[in-house]
Amino acid sequence: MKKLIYLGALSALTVLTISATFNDTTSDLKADFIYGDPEIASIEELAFGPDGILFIGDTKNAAIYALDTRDVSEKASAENINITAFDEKVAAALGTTQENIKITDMAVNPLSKTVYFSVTTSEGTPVLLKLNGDKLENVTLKSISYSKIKLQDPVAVDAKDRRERPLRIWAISDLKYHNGKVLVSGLSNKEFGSTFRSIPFPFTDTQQYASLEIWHAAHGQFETHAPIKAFDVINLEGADYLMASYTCTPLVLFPLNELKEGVHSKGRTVAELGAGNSPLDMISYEKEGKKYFLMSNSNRPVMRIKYETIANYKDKITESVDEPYVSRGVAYDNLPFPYVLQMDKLDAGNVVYIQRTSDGDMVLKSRTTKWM
Amino acid sequence: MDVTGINILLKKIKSNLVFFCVIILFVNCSEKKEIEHLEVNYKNGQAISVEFKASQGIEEAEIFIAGASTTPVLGEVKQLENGYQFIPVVPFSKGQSYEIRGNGVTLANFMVAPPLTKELGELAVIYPTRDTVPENLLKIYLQFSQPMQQVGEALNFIKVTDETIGEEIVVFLELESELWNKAHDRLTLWLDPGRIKTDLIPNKEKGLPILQGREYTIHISRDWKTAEGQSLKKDYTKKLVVIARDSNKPNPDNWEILPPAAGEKGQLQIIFEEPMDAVLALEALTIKDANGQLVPGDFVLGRYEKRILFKPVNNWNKEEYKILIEAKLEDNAGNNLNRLFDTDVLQNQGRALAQKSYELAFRITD
Repeated sequence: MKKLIYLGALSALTVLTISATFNDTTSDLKADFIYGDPEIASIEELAFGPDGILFIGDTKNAAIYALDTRDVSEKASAENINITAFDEKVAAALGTTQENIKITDMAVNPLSKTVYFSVTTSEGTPVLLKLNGDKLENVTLKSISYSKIKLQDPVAVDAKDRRERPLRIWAISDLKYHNGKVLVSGLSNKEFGSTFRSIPFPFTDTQQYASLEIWHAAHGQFETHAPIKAFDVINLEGADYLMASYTCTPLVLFPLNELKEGVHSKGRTVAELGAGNSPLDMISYEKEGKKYFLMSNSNRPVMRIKYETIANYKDKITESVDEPYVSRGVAYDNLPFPYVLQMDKLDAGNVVYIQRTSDGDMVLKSRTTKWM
Repeated sequence: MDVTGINILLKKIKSNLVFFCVIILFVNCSEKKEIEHLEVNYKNGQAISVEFKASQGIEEAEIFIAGASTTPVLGEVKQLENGYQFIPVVPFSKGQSYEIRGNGVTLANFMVAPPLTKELGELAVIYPTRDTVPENLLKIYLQFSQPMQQVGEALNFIKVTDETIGEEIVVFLELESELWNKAHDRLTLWLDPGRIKTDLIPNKEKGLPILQGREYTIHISRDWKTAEGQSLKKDYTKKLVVIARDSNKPNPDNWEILPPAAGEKGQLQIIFEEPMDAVLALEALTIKDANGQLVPGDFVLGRYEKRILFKPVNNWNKEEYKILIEAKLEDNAGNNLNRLFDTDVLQNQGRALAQKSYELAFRITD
């Protein structure tokens, strides 16, 4: 029983330590944070910002939360990770079997290199876990320092006639922190449409709704309603770009400084990556002085694109692709990693991913970018 | 917190319990009984903690799901006056057996009560309710009788057969974030939009998801579980009979309005030109009186979502009313009041035409 008592004592000590170090870990970014239960209803997306701040995309509450994980001890590199039957392990840690859980996202804290996972149970309880060695630990969502912003409906009309009006749900499809802003893309569960928001952090009352327009190769038309599935921010020749991958295949660049309220930004389609596929995660990494960009997909292996290839591709796809099954635009390499469900940069030289192997096992693995 | 504090807290918890069951099961009958008086505490049907007394000499103790699992259940341990309380991160699973192990030895077992409700799930309605659909049908909604499981993948329980060729086919877009409502009892499924839009690469490679002149059957498996872990009552099927594509925007000017009489709470009927998107139709309309004030009341869909009925809370006045229609309202092909889903309208034209809402007037008379 000592172990149980020890765990209990450790929890108490952790609370004391947290209280004692409260001021130590509080940065300007956390000045508006409050301590308590943020009442998170669901976790679809995770993204780390600076100072151990973890952003959580909650579709059910239509809100973004910033949590202070207090996980701020800096580490240069991570240990190797290789865990088989990872879904079974997560389920067992939650006292259940794998058919009763779903791993909704994974994110690595860039300071501590700790891997965090969001998990939902069959009844919809959201859980945040982190990896310590090969053990999972719970990160409490009930008593934590946090701030929150509700995702306002950009096209809501005033309607007070009904006693109950259903809240518009935007399934949050991706979330990133970049340079003082939380970038959020979402899909509607009703009409075919999407929003892309740029929210200054620390949160204020401001939310900017960028109107993004892309050119659909082959279609010969501009498209403003297509839903962004995953995105990343990449820097090309000194300028930041939003690299957005769409549910309907194209990969499109938008200059980040153009994504402002009321500004209609026209994207440059740089690649068509094929049909029957949905992009899942996008990350960037550097190897031997060169930058690369990786994208995992629902029905394709992980794709690798060199930054310089994107930078050198000055053209844009604005003409019809007449021949089916021909991808267009920047060249990409298919890496031998199919069915990668989650992917993030672990440290300077490694990537961590969750993969469903051909025998059905779910593995959590790190891999050096040397071989990617 | 001191022991008295814990006891007060515990009493508080206990007083709030809807169910407080005592389950002592399979306590290990080894020579030295180390764990006894094991109790699982329930609140609102959820097994929120387990309490037990332990004799001296237990060096290591953790809780595992019964069987070969070597990963301990995460949770918080509290020492009580006469024992211990373990509160798992999420409630223990209904019907699941657990073990308390110390130094690799099973000290006790307990089982959590199976779900309280035995009520099987039902697929209440599939929208569009009409079997006949346009070739460019954009989405369907599955409305269940109760919240569904929030794990697994919906498309694993849905199969579509092309009855004309007798083959199983893929028509719905696979999405990592499934499009459920907040209650998790309604799922939106898109027929792959990239295949519907003319000349997009998915459209060129695979063609339209469903074709005019063909018949399809959507099968929904009873194996799909509710959030309570119950199956559906039966397997469900929905037939689709595909007709020509719908290339027209909904036009409110072509709608028929059947106003009720004044001085009563009669139903206002709005008959659309074609079946509309069920979910959007219930949200996109509002009624305003002659002073521009919103009229409180409820909308109900009519047969095949081709009409909508508005029942006001108060009596109608003898005056002119307006129906305010949000432009986002779509027909079953995703065409809204401003644009066709599949159109070659150039950006400027598209924006110039865009307006947030449309209005229709009607007059209530005697």
